[in-house]
Amino acid sequence: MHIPEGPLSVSAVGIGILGAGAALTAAGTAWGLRKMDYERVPQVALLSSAFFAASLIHVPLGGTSVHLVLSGLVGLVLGWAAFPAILIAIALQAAFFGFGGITTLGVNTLVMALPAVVSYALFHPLVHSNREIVAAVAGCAAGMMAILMGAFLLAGILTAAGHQFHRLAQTVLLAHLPVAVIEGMVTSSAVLFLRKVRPELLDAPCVPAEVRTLDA
Amino acid sequence: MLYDLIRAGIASLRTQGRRRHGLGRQFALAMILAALINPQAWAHKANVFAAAQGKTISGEAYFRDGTPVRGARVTVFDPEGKPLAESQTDAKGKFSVPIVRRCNHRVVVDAGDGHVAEYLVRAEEIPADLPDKKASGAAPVSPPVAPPTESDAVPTPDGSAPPSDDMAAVRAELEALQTQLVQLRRDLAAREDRARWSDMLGGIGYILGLMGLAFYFLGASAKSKKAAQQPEPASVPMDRAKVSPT
Repeated sequence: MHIPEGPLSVSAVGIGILGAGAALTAAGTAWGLRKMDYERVPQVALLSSAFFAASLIHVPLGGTSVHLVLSGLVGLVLGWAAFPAILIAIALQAAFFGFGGITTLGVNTLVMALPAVVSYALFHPLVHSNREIVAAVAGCAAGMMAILMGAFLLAGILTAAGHQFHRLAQTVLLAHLPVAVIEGMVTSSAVLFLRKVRPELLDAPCVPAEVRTLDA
Repeated sequence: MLYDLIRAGIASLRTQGRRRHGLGRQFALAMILAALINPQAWAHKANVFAAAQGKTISGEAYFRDGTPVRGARVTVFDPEGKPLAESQTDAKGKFSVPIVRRCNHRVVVDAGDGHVAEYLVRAEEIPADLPDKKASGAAPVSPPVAPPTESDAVPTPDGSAPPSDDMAAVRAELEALQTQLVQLRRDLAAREDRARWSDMLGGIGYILGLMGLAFYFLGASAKSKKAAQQPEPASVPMDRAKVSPT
């Protein structure tokens, strides 16, 4: 899901996309940092590490290979703080493994962090449910939605960037469907696991303690 | 990472051991299975290695963990950017294209899903008896001045006519050497490209370091915030001021 260094920086539209991506990511990261208080810092670091390492675990699929993304999980646990977490993980991936590039840092982060925040907004209340099945389904939905929305964003960016990327955009969408399924299962099991072992990780990151309630 | 997943799964199973029903148990099992089944293979970058063997450029495209890139489009560009040849990788990720010119060839492999890899085959590797249309940057017009260690260019006849048997034998040996050299370079490229534990641990180390920095800065601002909100402990309480004897 990482856009490499070259393709977008050759056309005017591409450079515009890079700039918009960088600006939106900067805004999201600033907001995420504001929302991140003292107690959340270790969680942000933990999930950033998980996101960073997840891209190394890959499954061969057809003629290509896909890897875990975990953006749904990161969004569920961190909320807006997903922006700085994912930005740092992607920057390190670019530095250490050469995934993506430096100019595309903003766009790549946006593609993965924005769906994370959206999945937080949509599914976070459900994860606290008293019934396990609701939490499991919410986790699965969050994982799948984060991947699918990310794939749509990526395909949209590629389509906007130029005609030569249209086929690539379609391939991206198709290639991420199985990833979404796998990601849904992984996120669901992770949510259930965290509920048992470390429920405070799933606490609402941006809502003070008095306001949180358990819904039926 | 794999080890942590397995440990987490086992811990989760243990905490749920007493409950008979629980979705979490099945999912913990699924997590362990997934961790075990996943091939211990790393990452996600496509690479291509190519070399000139005689009048052909043959190469191999592979992902970082070694799996071949199948059915990818291969395009070879000349130094001016014009496509010279096109091909496709086979089931083993290999391809070959003929060469007609002695210049730098830029081999681009496009796997079609975002993975693009490039390799430059230098003009010096290509036999000198091919024409080069213009004097491009690195392609000399005269016979090659190949370094003595890299002997994969066929030696050009210098006017006198050596016996053809010796020539054939020399050529056969050179081709054998060249194949070995290609294999060696391919191994080297694969080794360099393989992502390693150390890279991953390094990245996680950076994240932990940033966490420490974040703690420091957030702690400093929290402390100053607290000091501003509460009254100074060193300040004299109001009642004592009234009571103290003069």
